[in-house]
Parts: sequence; structure tokens; C-alpha cells
Amino acid sequence: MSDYTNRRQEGSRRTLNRRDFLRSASALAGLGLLAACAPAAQPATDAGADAPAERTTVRYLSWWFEEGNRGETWNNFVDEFNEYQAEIEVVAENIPFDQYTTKTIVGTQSGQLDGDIIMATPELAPRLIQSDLLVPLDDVLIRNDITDLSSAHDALRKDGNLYGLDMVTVAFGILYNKDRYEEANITPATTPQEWVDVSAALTDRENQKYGFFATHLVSEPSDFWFQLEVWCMPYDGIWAEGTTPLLTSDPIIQGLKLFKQMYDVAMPQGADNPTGYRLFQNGDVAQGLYVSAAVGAFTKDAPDLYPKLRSAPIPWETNKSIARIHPMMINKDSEVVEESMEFVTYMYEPDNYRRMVEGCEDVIFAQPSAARQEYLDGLEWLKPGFFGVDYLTPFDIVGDFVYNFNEFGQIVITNFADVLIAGKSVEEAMETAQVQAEDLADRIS
Amino acid sequence: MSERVDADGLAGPPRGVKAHPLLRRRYLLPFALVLPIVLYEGLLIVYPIVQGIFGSFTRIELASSAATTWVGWDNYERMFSDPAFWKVIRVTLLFTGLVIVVALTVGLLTALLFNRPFRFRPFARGMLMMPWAIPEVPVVMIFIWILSPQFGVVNILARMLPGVTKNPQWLQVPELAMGWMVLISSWKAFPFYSLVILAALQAIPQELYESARVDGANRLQLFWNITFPGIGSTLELLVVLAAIFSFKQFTIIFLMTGGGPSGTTETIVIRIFNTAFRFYDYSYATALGVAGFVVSLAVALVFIMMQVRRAGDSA
Repeated sequence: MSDYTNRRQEGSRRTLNRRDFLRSASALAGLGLLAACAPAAQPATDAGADAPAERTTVRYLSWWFEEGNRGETWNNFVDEFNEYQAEIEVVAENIPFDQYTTKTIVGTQSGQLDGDIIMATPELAPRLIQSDLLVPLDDVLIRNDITDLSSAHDALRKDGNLYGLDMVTVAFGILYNKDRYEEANITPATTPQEWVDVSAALTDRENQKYGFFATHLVSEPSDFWFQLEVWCMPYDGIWAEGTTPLLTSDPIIQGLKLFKQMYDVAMPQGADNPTGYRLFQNGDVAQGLYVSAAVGAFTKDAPDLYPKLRSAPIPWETNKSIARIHPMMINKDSEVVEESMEFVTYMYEPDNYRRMVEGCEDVIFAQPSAARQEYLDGLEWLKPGFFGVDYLTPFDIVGDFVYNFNEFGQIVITNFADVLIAGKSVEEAMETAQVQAEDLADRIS
Repeated sequence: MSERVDADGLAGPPRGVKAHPLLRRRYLLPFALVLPIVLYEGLLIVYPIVQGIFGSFTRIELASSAATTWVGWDNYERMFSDPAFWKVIRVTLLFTGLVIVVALTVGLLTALLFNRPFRFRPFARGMLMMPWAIPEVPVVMIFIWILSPQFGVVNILARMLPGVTKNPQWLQVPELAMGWMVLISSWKAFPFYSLVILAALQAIPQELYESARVDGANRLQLFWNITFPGIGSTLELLVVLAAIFSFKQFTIIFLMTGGGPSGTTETIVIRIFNTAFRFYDYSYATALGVAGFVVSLAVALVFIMMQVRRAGDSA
């Protein structure tokens, strides 16, 4: 017997050599591969001919499935629709609001628009419409015989087709804690300066009591700009017209100075959004600019506070505020457009739509005829701050920058933050912002 | 019959005998083994880098039907003429430099401390690793609470200082914000450096210290002439690692200040993120990314050169 053979036999007596290891590993990998390629295991019992037919899955993307009563209402509607018929299974997929726009825009760039049914913000919607990524929804109106759709939908049309249906319009108003007003013997303000005075009177920094809160940190850019956009209203300004930024215009400068005054005399400076929200829940912050859609959340988040909530009249002459429309849309590249259309049609059936709005405790009806007066009368905080106000939309206040709303807002807040914490004047900061916004206009035009 | 032994010491077939096909394939084995990592690196690292470099020469508009256009050096010209870019570079270098100094100094001091025997030393060493072991997001949440101008516990300490009558806005005052970013990043990183230095300290032969003591060396001389040279190469490595780690620090800064106030904590990685995902200026962000890549590469090259020089000295 040769040495070669001896060594082979000797090797085979060893516990595990490299070749054995590799051989075993390849065998295992091969088995794994075979297992992976094999058809999925069948259930022990035959499915049978009477098993229900497989449903078509429709992916519905939104940020609100975990948002208090709004989330609960929508989840219930999804379940209700899935039980109501047997062919379609709508699956709710939640994406946090802060990531929603970025995820949608970047996702679109990297391939295609994700999801079958998607919710959009007032700024995301025109971007998607402009990029021809959506299916026209006029058919939903015909199927439901709807003739009184709100005029806010005009911004969702292109070439005569309607690409989005409003599921919640949120309006900005001043929400306050009536106990704090009563303790300080204060009546709601009627002018911007009175508003500052009222807020200052409600503030006692030593005892952590504040008259007003608005998000003001650059580390929370979405929330900061979301609130700051309203501050063009007190002096009847707009942020931009067409592609021309108006950041150095007098109404904008005055509006931002008003914010700075509030920051100086009444706000918990440096507090982030969760802290501000918590201070308001505790009664330590007396008032804030809140959207109507957020008020309903207090029924769950702060049930003790909710009965004390009231809205103040808009304290500026024009009585204007901002309303933001959030449309439901259908992805043009979806493979289940017809099934998606079924769900949208179901949700826009007037009675379902009314139940949805009431469930979310919203107050602006995209189908005005669906509104129930008893429901509106039951909301103590509705009047006067969220009722009878003249509403503008983001389309009206930022011009063509509505297609690049976040970028525009980022420019404003980044520069305005220097006013709040670095001692820059509003004029100086907005001068810089104006130049940057003009550069942005060049880039996007 | 003679026997052939190949490079790795395994026997091959005798000379003149034709190798079995399986055996011939064995010579391909090394290539097969490195293939997964080459594919992984190629797909997930090299390809994105190449794509990023290519993107920096184009104009890409997100969520737009506009086609990607070739713009040559435009993004780089814009970058070099942008004062904000140079400010970001200054902030990045300042942040990186401070973190290296603070984290390594604290790491060295704690390593020296933990190299000495004392009661409960194993437990103390375990505790030392805590900051490093905690993920960054909870750390950020904890520090946001500690530094809250309304509820932060650090305000109690601050108000004990003469002249401090109200709670400071720790993350809103530019100098304080940068200070806290450096402190928190250093606090998070120093246990790792401490551990590595500790290992290096334990590798220094005790005989050297004994001989030096016999010769009358004091503690400072012991440290300067034995300890420091003994851990010199380790410190060099840690300086490079600390530079790379702090250069790419994102989570802590992004979540705590977002680069503010007034851009005083906006390092290049934060700037890249903000440009790409807040301003949606994707092409310019890729140019900034390339700049960041070049700086990282330069640091890595410095380290390699140091290693080569050291290897040359040893030889």
C-alpha cells in the first residue's frame, strides 16, 4: 500500500479535516438550496374545492394608522371593507409622518411609487400629480353620485382629471386651555399685539408656566416649517408668488417678528415638540396653534384636558388661516388599480365618508352635504377658531414652491433659527433666505 | 513512488499521475472562497461609491419626469465656491479633533486606572463598557432629557454656579451645543479606546518597570519612557480610528441638534443628509459625499503610511 493511500486512510480516521469540512459544508449548502427551491409545504389536509378564493391584496400606505382615534377609525374601516366583500384584502401599512414625504419621493426616484393606495400631504400631492404617477379618480365621484366636492380639489386636477380625493382637511387655529385663561382672567386677543400681551400674561417662567408653544428647533424641521408657514397670515402676506420668493416682503418680516416676540415672552425656549405637547397636556402651556385634526387626539392622549379646550378667534383683521388638504390617491403603476378604486369608492360613499370624518373628529367636510349639524354642534372647541374662518391652502401661500415645499421651508427655518438663537435680525436672516430661495427657484424651474 | 506536497502542506497526486478533476478544482477553491466577499463589497460598497461619483457629475431631480443630465464639474465648482461648504469642513475638523482629544485622553486615563489592581476591578471594568454598549438612539433620548431647558437635571447643577439665574438652553447656544456634541460622542466612544489601551498596557513587560524603578525613575518618567512608547503604536491606530468614527458620527448630532444652531454642529455627514433628504438636492449631495469620501480616504492613507513606516523601522 503506497504512502499516498496510507495518508488517505490516516486522514479519514481524523475527526474532521479541511476537505471533510468543505465536503460537508457543500452538502449542507446544497441541501439548503434544494430546500429553498422546493415548493412551499402543503397543508396536511387538502384545501378542497369549497375553500374561499384567494383575495387580491391592495397595499394602502399612510402615516396615520397609529394615530389615536384617527388610526383606530381607519383600521376599523379597512377591516369593515375586507369583511364587506370577498375579493379584495386591503392591507394598511404605516409609515411615520416625518419620513413619509422623503420616503415617497426617494422611493419614486429609485424605481417606482410604492403602494397601491397612497395618502399624500398638500405638498406631496402636486409633486406626484405633476410627475404623472397617479390614476384619475373622477370615476369615484360618478359611482357615488357626488356633485358637491369642495373647491380645494381644484388643486388636485390636471388636464381636466381629478387625481386625489380629500380624506382630511386640517385647519390651523388657536387652541387654548380655558382654565388657564380663567385663572389669569384673560379674554381672547383680537389683534396680533394683544395676542402677544395675552401670551406674556399667561407666562411665568420661574414656575414653568408658558403662554404659548410652537415648534422652533431645526432638529425638527418638518414640524417647525409646518407651524411657521402660518405666520405669514397675521399681516396678510404670502411666502412666494409663482417662482418669486417674497421672504423680504413687509408682511413676512412682520409675521416673523411676531413669532420672535412670542418666543421671547411666552415660549418654553429650546423645548422640542414632544416636550411642548406634554406641557400643553399638563396645562403648563396655555395655548398653541393647532390643526383641527390634532384636537381629536386629545380625547385619548389627555382626556382630562380635552373638555377644557376652546378655540380663540383668529386675532388678525383678515380672519385668514391655512387649511391643508390630504388626498387619497392611486398609484398608476399599481397592478391592482381596479381593486384600489373599489376601496376609494367605498370610502367616498357619502355615509361612509361622514362616519370616517366623525370617527376622526375632523371638522372640514370635503363633501359639504355629508356634514351632520348635530355632530358639529357637539364640538365645544370648534367655534370660533375653526369655524367661519377664511382658509387659504399651501398652494395659495407658497406659489410654485408648493412642488418643493420642504426645500423652501428648510431655507426659511434654517435662516429664521438664526434670529431666534444667534441674535440675527429678521431682515438680515430673510435677506439670506431670499437669495437661497431664488437659487432654489433657478434649480427647479 | 514520490509524493508531491503543495504549498499548504497537503499531499497531491504522485508525479506523472493525471490529477483528478476534483483535485484540479481545488486550486480554484481560494477564488471561490473570496468570491462572496468580493461580490458583497462590489455590490454594496464599490458600486454605490461609483454610482455616487457618477451622480456628482449629473443633475438629478427627485420625483420628476425630467431626465438626468450630465453637468460636468458644476456641482464641484458650486461646492468649492460655497462658503457653507467650508464652514461645514471647519465644523467637521473641529468636532473630529475635539472628540479625538477628549475620547482618547479619557480612554487613556481610565485604562491607566483600570490597569492597577483594586477591589471589584472586574465589575468596574464591566461598568466601564456601558456607554459603549448602549445603542446611540437611547443615549440621545436620555441626553435630550438631561439637557431639557425645562426638565433637565443638569440645570440643577448649572444653577448652583454663580451668575446662572435661569436654565441654560444647552443645545440652542452655539458654543454649548458643540461642547455637548463632543462630550456625548466622547462619552459614547471612550470605553472602546480604553479597552484597547488597557490591552496594550498589559502587554508591556513588567521587568521594564522594575529595572527603571531600580534605576530611580519616578512615576512620570516611568510613564513617559516606558508606558507611552509601549502603547505608541496602539495610540496611533486609535487616533486614526477615532478620526474615522467621529468624522462619520451621524445619529447623535442629527437627533439632538440636526446640525443647528446656526450650523455650528453641522458636520459633513449631516450636511450630506440635509442636502439630499431635506433640500432634495441629490446631485449636490453626492458631490459633498465624494468630498467626504476623499477626506476619509486621506485619513486611511495616513494610517497605512504610518503602518508601512513602522514596518520599515522594525525591519
